[in-house]
Amino acid sequence: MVSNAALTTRARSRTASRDRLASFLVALRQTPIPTSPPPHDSQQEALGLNLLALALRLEHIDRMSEALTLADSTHMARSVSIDVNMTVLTPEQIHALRSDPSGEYRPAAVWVPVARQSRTDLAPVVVRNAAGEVVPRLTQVETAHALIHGMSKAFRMFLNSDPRTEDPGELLHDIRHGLNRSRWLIEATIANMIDTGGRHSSPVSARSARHRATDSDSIRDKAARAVEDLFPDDSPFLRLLDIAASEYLLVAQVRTNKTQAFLRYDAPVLPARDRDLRGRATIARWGTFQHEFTVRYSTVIPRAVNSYHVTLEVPPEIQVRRFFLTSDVDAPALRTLVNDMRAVADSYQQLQGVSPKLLELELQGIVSRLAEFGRRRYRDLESFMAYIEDCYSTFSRRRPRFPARTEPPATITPAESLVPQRRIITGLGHLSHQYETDNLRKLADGSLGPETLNQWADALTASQVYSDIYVDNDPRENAGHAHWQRRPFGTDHQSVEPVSATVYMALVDDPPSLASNVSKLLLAVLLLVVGFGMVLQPQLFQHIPLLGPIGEKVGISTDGGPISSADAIVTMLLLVPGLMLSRLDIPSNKSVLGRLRIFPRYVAYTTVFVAGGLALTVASARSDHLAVPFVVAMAALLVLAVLVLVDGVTKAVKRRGRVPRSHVSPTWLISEIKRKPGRRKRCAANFSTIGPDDHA
Amino acid sequence: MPSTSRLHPALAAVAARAASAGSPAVLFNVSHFGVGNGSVAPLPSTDIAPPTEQDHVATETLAFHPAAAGFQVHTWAPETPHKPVGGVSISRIAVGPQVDERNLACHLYGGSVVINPNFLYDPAHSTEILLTLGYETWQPDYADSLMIARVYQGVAAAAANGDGVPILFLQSPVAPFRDPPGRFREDGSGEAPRVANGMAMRVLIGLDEGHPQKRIALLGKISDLAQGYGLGLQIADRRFGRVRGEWWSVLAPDADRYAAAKAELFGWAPPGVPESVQLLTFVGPARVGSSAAIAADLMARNIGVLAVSAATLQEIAFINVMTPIAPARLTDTPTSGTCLPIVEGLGQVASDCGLTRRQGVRVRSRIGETAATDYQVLSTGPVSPRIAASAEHPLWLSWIIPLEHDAAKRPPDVAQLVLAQLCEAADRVAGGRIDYYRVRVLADGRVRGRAKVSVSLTEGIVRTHIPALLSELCAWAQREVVATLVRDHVPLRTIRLRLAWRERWLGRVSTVM
Repeated sequence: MVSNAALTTRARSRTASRDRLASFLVALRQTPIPTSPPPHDSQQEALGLNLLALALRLEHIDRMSEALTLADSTHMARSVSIDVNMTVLTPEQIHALRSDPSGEYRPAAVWVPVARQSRTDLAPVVVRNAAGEVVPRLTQVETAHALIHGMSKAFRMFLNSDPRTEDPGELLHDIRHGLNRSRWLIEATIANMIDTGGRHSSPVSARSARHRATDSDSIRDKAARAVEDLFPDDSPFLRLLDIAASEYLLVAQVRTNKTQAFLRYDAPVLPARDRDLRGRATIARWGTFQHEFTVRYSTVIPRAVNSYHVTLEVPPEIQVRRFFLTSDVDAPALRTLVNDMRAVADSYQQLQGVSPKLLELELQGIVSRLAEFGRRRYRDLESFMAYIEDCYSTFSRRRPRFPARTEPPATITPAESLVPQRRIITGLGHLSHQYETDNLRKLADGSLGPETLNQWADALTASQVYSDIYVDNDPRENAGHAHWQRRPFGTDHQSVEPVSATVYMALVDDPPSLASNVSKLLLAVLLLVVGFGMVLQPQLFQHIPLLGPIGEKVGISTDGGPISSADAIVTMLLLVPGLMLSRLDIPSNKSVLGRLRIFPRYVAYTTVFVAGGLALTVASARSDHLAVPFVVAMAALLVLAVLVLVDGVTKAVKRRGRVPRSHVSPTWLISEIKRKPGRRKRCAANFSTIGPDDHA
Repeated sequence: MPSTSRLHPALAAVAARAASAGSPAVLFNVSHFGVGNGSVAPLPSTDIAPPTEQDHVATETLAFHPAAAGFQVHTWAPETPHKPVGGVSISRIAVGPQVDERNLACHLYGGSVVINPNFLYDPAHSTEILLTLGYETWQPDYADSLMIARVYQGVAAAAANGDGVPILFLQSPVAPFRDPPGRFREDGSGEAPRVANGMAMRVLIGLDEGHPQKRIALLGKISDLAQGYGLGLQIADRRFGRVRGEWWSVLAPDADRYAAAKAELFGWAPPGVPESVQLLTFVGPARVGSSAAIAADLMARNIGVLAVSAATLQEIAFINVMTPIAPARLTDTPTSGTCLPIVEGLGQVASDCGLTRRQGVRVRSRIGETAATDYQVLSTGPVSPRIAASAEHPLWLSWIIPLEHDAAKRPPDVAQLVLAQLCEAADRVAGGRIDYYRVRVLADGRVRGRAKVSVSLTEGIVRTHIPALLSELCAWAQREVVATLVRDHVPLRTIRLRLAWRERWLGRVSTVM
């Protein structure tokens, strides 16, 4: 199952690689063939390539902080602050990035990429510095211009460095020296792709039958073949071009006289995922009651960033019940480990045949890294359990029960610790202990065989052991803050892949809440109706203790005629619930609070409706026909009361949830805390700054 | 190929560097040191300024001085789109001899190479292998040189097999390592004193973490090779937290099998230690398989390899080889240098250094059809090496200091300072030299260097006392050199320097406080 998933990912990446080449070739067919050489500008080339290189790694960004605000339940506003470290830029880069092209070698200000955005986010962005001044930005047209020059330069580098260009029999030799229009066409295609965002499709696929050298098809064919020769499917050049064509770089001007710079910008408002927006106007959306509004926010942290903060602040009426951040910072290390495990399992016998010591080295390498994963994740588990205990302490004296703490510590032998357990992190913790106490010195004697290695590989992948957890450390109830820190995996060189981080937040309307006010309204109306019932229809309460005797005393006999004080009763039945309803704070339907308060809102409206209906009956019906309406009204109000009670109990149960069964919670965390993992739920609103393909 | 996700940022960085510089080509200086006719010249000092452009700083510098002869390579990116070689040329590699008036024992070559943007391997994702032919001091005879060539060829062929992985660094001779016996081990931090240069080869192979089966296949092939020739094999310890210089012994050297293999394969080779050598440098854009092609060609022509240092500097491959000149071709001609394309260059080398006369068995060279097709051969000879069995101990040095662009204000080279400092302790140190030196100017304007200094101790020191003595010596020299740098106006907090006689002690370099 897991290996199938791995295979699918690999296959998807291969398909994506092929698509990049295919879309380049499609664009090549639709780009007009130039008749003169495209312009070359060395300053723009250096600027474009440096912008791209810096934007990919964002190594100059030391710290990144994001302040999230939910504009409404389906839109999120972000304010991003970054600390730029100018000392990372080399003198050559500073010269290439100078904002004044005719300036001196050490310019006063440089263009620096601060973020990459999808081309769909087109809202204007204003970047400010530490003093609050607006910082100039490079326009997208200028950035695209520089990128076009840069990518064309990169293409020429590939062409010029290829040894085939010196062999007169090769196509690449002709492309470099003689077939100028084909070469210009490739450069024009690069420009076309960056300009238009790389989307090309053609209504016609027919081709001319002529094959003269000056025919456009002939020129295009040669250009296409040259591109295929130069760039294999998985060529990094095509990947770069894809990024340049599908994303915008946010480039700001930074002065070079200080080594550090602080910039802040409000990123374009993020809409929730299509799926969350789709049901916005349907009845089903208003029929789903939510006790907590869960939000998932996915973003990318550049791998060079050492420190990342994410904060959330919501109106004081809402409480942040759970807030945590998970990231896949250890994913490259785990991928390497899993690949190593599978490879060693496949060639176990071969390695043993070559030298048992070689096998021992591989196995020791694997187990030492497993032990490190055990240490890391166990620490994460401890911090999560401490966080849940803190959450419990706000409403209960009872401490939450965690299997890792409540179950007596089992004595596990070294051999047992080498087999993956159901609660994988506890198992890894045992393994780590055994490894540190030198009990796993000999592994090549069969104690860690190929089947066990494959089991480990499957278990590690399936339980998302690469995910770490950082919990909320903001003491306020209506705010959340998580602080992520980079933890390099040992002495391994850090990968340049960005870290994808996901924030989970559960927002609730805890007491004193609308629900408690609504229950007061409901109680008041119920008392009113019962009171009037006892006065007007005492026979209904004959067999009810306490109420029966009172009814007999206060009940009035109307002899089946109209009620003399009907006006007063109607006024009371309309006025009391109406006044109480008007004092309730019922928010807009679209806000988060509105989503959380759907159920109490419905209860309040129904209560007033029941009271109104009864008032109408009292006003129009004879006194001997009022028994049924009173019974119906009281039954309806009692049903509502039961529903409110059930709602209250559900909330209390949810408040005691030890781990959210959400897609955000790593599988290892759920399996460590819950006995049965159960079905994972999707969050109510999902936001992502990552492209839609990467979203789970 | 490495996983794609790592490649495109690397390509962007390489392309940006090339576009920021005046030209996509990288300039280089290759210096061959050594004099012929049995005379011995003092070794040149190491420095990061290229000999032809003293007002510049080389981005990468490599020095390798295995005997009284050696190599130095400097590479840097030009500021203007010029090439140092005159004439109208659009070829991707240009090289020519240059005149170095400062040092008569030096043959200088300058040139430029257009980099290969397809070569995007990262030394951090690599594995290191140590092959040991013997633990004794380096003193190879002609047959040993052919065995080294055979091992070099075997390793390079194993790396180039299939899709191929690049050899990022390869060097012989190096300090051999053996697991410390009990009297030196202490609590695990101790080590037996090592020999500075032994019959051993150290190889750093770039790997793709996404395809570990390639690594396993490669290690299997190299193990077979080592077993076949009776070589010791050690692999960089892959356990978590282990650093460079920590080895995992897989095979111990088998002297008898090595001698048998040597006699069987090269029993016909002339006896004795070579008196005269040629210094060769193969230069070209780094490409997977180029080293294997060159090694195979050398082996096919029965050209021995006394010492070799193959390294990639700024995506350019420099394969420096010291080949023994066949006794029959020893002449009194003065040392001279040539630059030739690889086909002609190897032909010339074969006629000078080929150790066999069996013309009939030679097949036509196919080097022109391999990954090394456009490489150039820089050759200097004849040079007299000093291959003497002296007991030297290696000291490893690692440093990071800020770069001073102004040559007049720049402090002296750190490795030279350390060497001078060590030689001051005349009561303990009889002599020393810098064997290996690699410096890179980092993007953030700092200079990071690593060097191996070989020192010979005064006579009469008991072997078991050597570790304590070396520890004392290293701590003292380190402190004194830091003091010297501070006197030269290098801020103390910016200096990171460590000198250790156990290589793994350099693993985590911290600020000296």
